[in-house]
Amino acid sequence: MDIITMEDVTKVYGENETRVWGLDHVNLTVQQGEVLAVVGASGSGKSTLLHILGGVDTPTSGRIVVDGKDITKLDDEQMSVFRRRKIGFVFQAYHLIPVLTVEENITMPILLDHRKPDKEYVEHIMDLLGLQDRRKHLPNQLSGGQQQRAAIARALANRPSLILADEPTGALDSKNGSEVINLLKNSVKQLNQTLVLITHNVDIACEADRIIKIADGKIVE
Amino acid sequence: MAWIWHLCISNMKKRGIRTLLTILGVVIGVISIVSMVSIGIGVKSELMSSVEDMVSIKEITVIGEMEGKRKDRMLTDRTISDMQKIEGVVSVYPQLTVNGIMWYGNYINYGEIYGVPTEYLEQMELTDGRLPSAKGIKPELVFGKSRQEGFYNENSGLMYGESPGAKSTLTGENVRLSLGYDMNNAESYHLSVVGTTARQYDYNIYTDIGVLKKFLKKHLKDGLLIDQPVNENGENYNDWVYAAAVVVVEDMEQIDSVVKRLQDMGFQTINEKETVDSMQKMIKIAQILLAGIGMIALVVAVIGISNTMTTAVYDRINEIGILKVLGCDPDELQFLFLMESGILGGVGGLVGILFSYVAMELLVNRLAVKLIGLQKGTQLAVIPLWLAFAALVFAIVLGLFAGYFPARWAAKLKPIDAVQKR
Repeated sequence: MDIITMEDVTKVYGENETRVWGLDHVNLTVQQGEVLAVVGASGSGKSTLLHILGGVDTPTSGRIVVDGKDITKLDDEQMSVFRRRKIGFVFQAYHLIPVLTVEENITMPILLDHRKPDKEYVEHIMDLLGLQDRRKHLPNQLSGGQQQRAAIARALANRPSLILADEPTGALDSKNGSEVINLLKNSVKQLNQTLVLITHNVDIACEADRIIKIADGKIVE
Repeated sequence: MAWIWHLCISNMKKRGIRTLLTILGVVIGVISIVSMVSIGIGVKSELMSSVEDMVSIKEITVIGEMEGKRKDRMLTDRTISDMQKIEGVVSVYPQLTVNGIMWYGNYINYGEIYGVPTEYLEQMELTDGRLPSAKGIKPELVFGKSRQEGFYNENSGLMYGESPGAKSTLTGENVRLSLGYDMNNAESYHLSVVGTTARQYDYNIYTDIGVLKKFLKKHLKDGLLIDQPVNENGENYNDWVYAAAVVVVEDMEQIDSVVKRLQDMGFQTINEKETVDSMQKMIKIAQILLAGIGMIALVVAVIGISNTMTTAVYDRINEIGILKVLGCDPDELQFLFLMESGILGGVGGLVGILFSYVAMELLVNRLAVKLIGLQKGTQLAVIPLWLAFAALVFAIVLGLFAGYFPARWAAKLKPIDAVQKR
C-alpha cells in the first residue's frame, strides 16, 4: 500500500530573477512500512521535501497524498490536526521543550490531540528507547544521544503512520548515532510505521530499504 | 487544557525574575490608580460631611412680603400650611422676626430676634445652657454661637469679641432690649440669655415663637404690633405675618423641585445647594485629575506586560515552532500566551489591591491624617469593594490586551519558520 504519493510537486522560493527551485516537479511514492533514506548535498532540497511531506511547509504546486489524505487541500487548523495524528518529526537539533521533563515531552503530542496518554504504550516506548531512568529529567540534564532518544519517543507517541527524520544523527558522535538509528529503525518496524530519513551518513543510508538522491530539487536516482 | 496551564506556569517559573518584575509593574500601576481613586472618594465624603456640619443643606429659607396688598405672598399660618403639602417637605417652621436694640453692659447691638417653634429649637445643638421656655410672657433668649462677638462698645470702640475678659458665651447673663430702632424708646425690658448654640458663624438670636407673640401683644406701640404690616385702614391683619420660614426637605435631591414650587407660589428662597453643587464639581475635577495620574502608572504597567510578552514570544519562538510542528492548534497556542499575560495582570492586580489597602491605611489614614492634623480616625482614603473588584478586572483585561498582539503573532507563525529560528 502506498503511504505517500507525490505528484508533480514543486516548491519555488522568491520571484522572477531571484527564483529558486526548492523542489522541481518531484514524483515519489513510498510504501507502508518502508524505510526510505534521502541523501543529497546541502541545499539540494531534501529538507524541503521532508517539510512539505510533514505539512509544516506548503508546496507551490502539485498534489501530495499522505495516508489517503490530500494534504494540499487542508487549511491551517486541519493541517495541525493532520500533523499531530499522522506525522512524527525527529530533528537534528532534538527540539525538546526545555521546561518540560522527558516524560512530559513524550506525552505532549497526545495532550495536544486532547487525549489521555495511554500509560502502557508510553511505558513501552520509554522502555524501547531506554529512557525509563531519565523520565523526570529536564532536557538540559541529558546527553545529546539521550535527548535524541526522547525526541524519537515523542515522535512515536501518537502512533503516527509516518516518521520524518531530518538528520537525526547529525549532532551525535558515530557510536551514539548508530545506536539512535538502530532504535529508530527497530521502533518503526515494531510499530509498523513508515520512515523517511534524511542523512549524510552513507552507512546509515545503506541500511535503508531504498535510497533516493536529490540534487537541485530533483530526484536523480 | 491541563497542558496549557502546566506549560504556562513552568515557563513563568523558569523566567522567575522577569515574571516578578512584570508583576511588580502591574502592582505599582494598580496601587497608584486604586490609591488615587480611593483618596478621591475619601476626601469627597470627608468634605461633604464637613459641609453638612457647616450649613444646613436640607433647609430652604423662604422670605415673604411684609407689606403691600398681596396677602397670599405673605407668610401666614395659611401659606405655611400650603407649603407643608409640597412633596418632599418634611416640616415648615415659621420665623417671627422682631427688630430691636440690645444692650449688654456698655455694649450695644442692633438686630433681630427670631421667634421659632419649639420643635425647631429642639433640633439645635447647644454649647451650653438650655432651650427657651415655651411658657410665660417674657421671652428667654438663645444666642447664636458667634452673636456676642457683635456687641460694640461706643466708648472704647471695641467689639465685645475683641475686649479683654470677654466671655465665650453670654449664657446666664441678662440683656436689655428696646423694641424697634428708636434709641430713645423709653421702654426697655430685661431678658435673660438661657443658652448658646453650637453652630459656627451663627449670629442669630432665637426665642420661642408663642412667648414672643404674647410679649408683642402686651407691648403694643401706638396700638399696633411692632414689626407687623398693616392693611389699607392702618390696622394689623388678623393673622401673624412672618418675615421668613424654614422649609426642611427630606432629601437633598428634592431641594431643586421644592425651591421651584416655593418660587411659583411667589416667595423668595435662599439655600446652600449651589455652594454644595459647586463644591461637588470641584471635587469631581480633583477626582478625575487623581485618577488620571493613576492611569499613567497603569499605562506604564501595560507597556511592561506587553514588553514581557513580546520578549517571551521571541524567546520561545523555537518552542512555539515545536508545538506547531507537533500539531498544536493555533487557537490553543494563542490561548497559552493570553493566559500568561492574563495571569501576570491578575496576580499583579490582586497583590496591588492588597498592598493598596495596607498602604492607604498606614500612609494616608494614619500618617497623612496625623501630619495634616485631622481628627484621628478620619478616612481620607476609602477603598470600596467595587473599586477593588473593578481594579482586579481591569488589571486582568489590560493583561490580556497587552498579551493579545504577541499571542496572535505567535499563533500565526509558520511552523517551519519558527522551528528553524534559533
